[in-house]
Order: sequence, then structure tokens, then C-alpha cells
Amino acid sequence: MRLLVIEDDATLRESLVAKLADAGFAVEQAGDGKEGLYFALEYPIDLAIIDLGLPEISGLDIIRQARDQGKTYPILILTARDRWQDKVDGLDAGADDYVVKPFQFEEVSARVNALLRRSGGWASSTMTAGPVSLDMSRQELTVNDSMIELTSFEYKIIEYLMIRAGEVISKTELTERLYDQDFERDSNVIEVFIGRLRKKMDPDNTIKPIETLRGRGYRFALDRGHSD
Amino acid sequence: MSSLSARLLVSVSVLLIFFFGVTIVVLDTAFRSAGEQAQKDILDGQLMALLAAAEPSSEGVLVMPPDLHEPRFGTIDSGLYAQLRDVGGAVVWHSRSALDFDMPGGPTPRSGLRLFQQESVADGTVFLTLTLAVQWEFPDGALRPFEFKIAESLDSFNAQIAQFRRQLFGWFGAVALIMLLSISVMLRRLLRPLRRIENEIVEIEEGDRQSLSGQFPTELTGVARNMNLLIDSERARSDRYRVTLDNLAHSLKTPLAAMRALLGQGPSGEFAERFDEQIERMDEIVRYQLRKPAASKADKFALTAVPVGREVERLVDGLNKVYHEKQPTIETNISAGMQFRGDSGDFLEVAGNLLDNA
Repeated sequence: MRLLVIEDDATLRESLVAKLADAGFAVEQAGDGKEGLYFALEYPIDLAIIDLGLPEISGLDIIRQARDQGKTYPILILTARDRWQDKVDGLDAGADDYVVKPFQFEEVSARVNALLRRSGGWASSTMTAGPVSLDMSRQELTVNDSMIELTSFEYKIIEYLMIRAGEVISKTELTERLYDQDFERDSNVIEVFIGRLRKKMDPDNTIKPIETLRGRGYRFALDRGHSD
Repeated sequence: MSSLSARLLVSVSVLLIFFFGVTIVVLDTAFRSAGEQAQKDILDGQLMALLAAAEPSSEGVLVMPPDLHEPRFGTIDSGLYAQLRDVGGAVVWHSRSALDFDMPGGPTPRSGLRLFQQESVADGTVFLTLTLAVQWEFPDGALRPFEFKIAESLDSFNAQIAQFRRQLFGWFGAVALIMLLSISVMLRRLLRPLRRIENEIVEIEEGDRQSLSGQFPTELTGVARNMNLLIDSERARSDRYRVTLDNLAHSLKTPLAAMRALLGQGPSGEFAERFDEQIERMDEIVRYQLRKPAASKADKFALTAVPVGREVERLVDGLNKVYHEKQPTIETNISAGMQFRGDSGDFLEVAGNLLDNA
């Protein structure tokens, strides 16, 4: 999942970015409104965390312009004033949720996860599709109630595919969304990770959770909800 | 007296009473003088007629004819009386009208002089009298003194004066009333722009209007313009206050958030907990200051009419987004056109807390 953090306070921004990266997100960051707007409009991102009081262009303007340009990713606003006026203005402009400063990182993390789930149409923090279940808050994957040990990248891939369950995700998109900008992008690595995931989740090749669509990408193929 | 109309009407009334009063006095005096002079002239004419009618007799007395030219001398109690006295004061002759009349006895003028007087009789009736003392030359060449006196009741004259005064007061009263009514109507018309300014200010205070319309008479354009400037500066002050608070919030709460984030990166323990407590305290203090209402009664002109329905709808949309997973059911039943007079931020704060707590 690729997140965008737009916050003018360098200390806060870097700390937030570091923690989000630790939580397994690829994170882009911007220190002012102008740079932030560029990222918000031009980069493929899954969620944006935007501070309302930004230099150059305000957070509200960035949200409005992103929505005007047809960007549908969830937006979490960081606001220093916790008056309802500011919250409603932000939500009205197109944001999906807010966090009031000073916040605990856990609060931001929980809201980010909730928004990502919601954007994929999942209602609870545990996404269940047939025998496969993924708890985003604990970052745990179980298949037939057995816990599956995953590496950080394997987790990122299955989380992304499950959030977008049913949608075809191209290798390029997966690469963009899961790798940090600085990493060398190699789509073959994705194939390796997908192969490993299949082995771990479905060693007998019976449930076939990840489908390969030749020339198009991958799809999490299991129906949402518990299997009978 | 706070009303301009009342002040003007009272001032005009005082002026009217003064000038009309002076006019009435002048006219009354002139009319009375002219009337009195006419009375004197008539009396003088009557006296001349008596002198002409008197005939000296060989006995040394003046003889008056039984019928005089003026018929009122021949009618008892007609109001016009004549008397002729000799040098001893004895009545030599009196007109038929003076049969039951006691001629007031005033002083006798010197021979050849006329004396006009106003004299009263026993019943209080006032008379204008004319007395003339003459030396009458008889055929024997002797000169004998006589005194002619004519009295005319002033009742009729006084009644005319009273009638004239009544008419004078009546007409001037009517004119004054019409003038006051006209001025009152004129004032209503003249002061209409002032009333419009007043109404528009009330509308601004109630939030139904943003500024005074610019369509006022030239004399009031400056007032309206300055009033609009005052209103704008009030609003700007209110906005500045809000922006200052926003900046304050941003400049205080962001470092607090950064401190908390840095704290989270270090090892947890008693120090971290106590440090976090202090951050929480600082946050509470800042939040308390920021929650003060944006608008107060003193900022009358900064108040606006907040459409309750629209703001609650925005709030409900926001809450539905935030509490998406809980799927809240929020039903609103707000009368169309309902307004909150104040600051929209303050209204959202109250309504937002209420809905959020619910």
C-alpha cells in the first residue's frame, strides 16, 4: 500500500513516515502544499494523510483539487483545531476521516487501516474470504484457522490483493504500490513473492486464492465472506 | 425626547404659538383701535347733530326738538343717550331714550373741548361718552355755558370684538393644525430613509443582510458608507481572531504532535509516561482556549443567519463518513428556513458535540 503524507512540520512528518514504513506501508512525503498537491495528483497512491494547515496551498485545497481530478483514494486529515467547523469543512471537501493533533500513532494507524479496508469494500478489520482470513490490525494471515508465517513483502502483497479482492491488479500496479520509490523495481520479484504466497497459503493447490491472468496481472479469486 | 419627529413637531408648535400669538395680538389691537376710532367718529357726528338741532330761546335756555334725526334717541333704553346740562349741572334736557337712565357724571372739559371717556354705570355696563362744554350765544348777545353729553353702550362693540377674536383664534388654530399635520406628513416622508437605515441595520444584526444598500439620499450616503465600513471592519476583526486562533492551534499543537511522535520512537517507561502526561496537559490548555465561542453578543455585526438545515446536513454527511463502519441512523426533522443567529462555527460545535455524543 502506498501512502502519501503531507505535513509541513518536518519532525512530525518524518516520525509519521518512519512509523508508517515500519507498519509496512510504502510512503511518499511532502513538506508543503505545492509539493503535496503534485504528489496527490500525479502519484499512484492508496491513501493520503493531509495536514490542513499547510504553507503554499492549504490542505483543504489539495483535497478539493484531488477530488475534482477524480482521485478516489481515501484521505485522512490531520487538524490542529478540533472544532467541528474544521472537521466538517475537511469532510465536506472530500476527506474521509480526521485525526486531531497531538495524536498517538496507533490512532493514525487504526484509521489508515480502516480507511483502506473501507476503500476495498471491507467492513471489519478482519477480511475473510473462504478459508482465508487476514487481520489487518494484527497483520496475521490464517488459512483454515492455521496461522501462516509471512515476510513483510509477502504480507503487503496478500493485503493489497485481498483489499482489492475480485479486481485484476497488474504487476506494475503492485510494484508501484508496494515498493518505496527508492527501491529498484523488478517485476520478476513480484512473481517470486506470488509463487511463495501460493505455496504457503495453498500447498495442496486446492483453494487457489490467487489467480494469474496472463498479460493482465493477478486477482484474489476467493469470494468474500466465510465458506460454507 | 429621543425622536427627531417629536423634537421638530414640538419646536414648530412653539414657533407657531409664538408667531401666531403675536399676529393675533397685533390684529386684535389694530381692529379694536379702528373700532374705537369709528365709535368716536359716530359719537362726534351724533353730537354735531344735537348742536345743530339746539335752538336758543328768548328765556335764555336751549330748546331741543322732540324728534331728533337719530331714531335711537327716541327709543327708551336704546343704548344711545344724550343729555344737556346748564352751568349749575342741572339737566336741561335729555333724550327720550334716557328716561330711565342715569348718565354717568364724569368731569367737565374746558369750554370748546371734547372729552371722550369710558365710564361705567351702576349695573356695570360700560359706555363710551363724549362731553362737550360750549358757550352758547343767545339772541340778546349773552353767552351762556352748557354741557352736551352723549353716551353709547359698548356692549355691541365689545360683542363684535369678541366675535372677531373668536374668528381669529378659530382660523389661526385651524391653520396651525393644518400646518402641523402637513409637517408631520412631510417628516414621515423625509425621515423614511432614516427608518430604512434602521430596518436594514436590524436585518444585519439578525443576519438577514450583509451590508446597507447604497440607495440613500445624498445626505445619508456618507453615513451608510461609514456604517458599511464599520460592519466590514467588525467582520474582518472577527475573521482575524479566527485566523489567529487557527495559526495558534497549528503552531502549538503540531509541535505537541511532533513531541508525542518522538516520544513514541524512544523506549517506553516512567519518563515517557510522565512526558506524555505533560503533553496531554498542554493539549488540554490549548484546546480549552480554542473552544471559546468565536462570536459574542458584542460582535453583533459579525453574526450571520446560519441555515440550520444545511449545516446539520453537512454535519450528518461528515458523521456518516467518519462512523461508516457503525452505520449510524441519523434522522433530521428541521423546519424549512430555520436559522441560527450567530457564528456558523459555534453552531456546528454545539450540534456536532450533541450528535457525536448521541
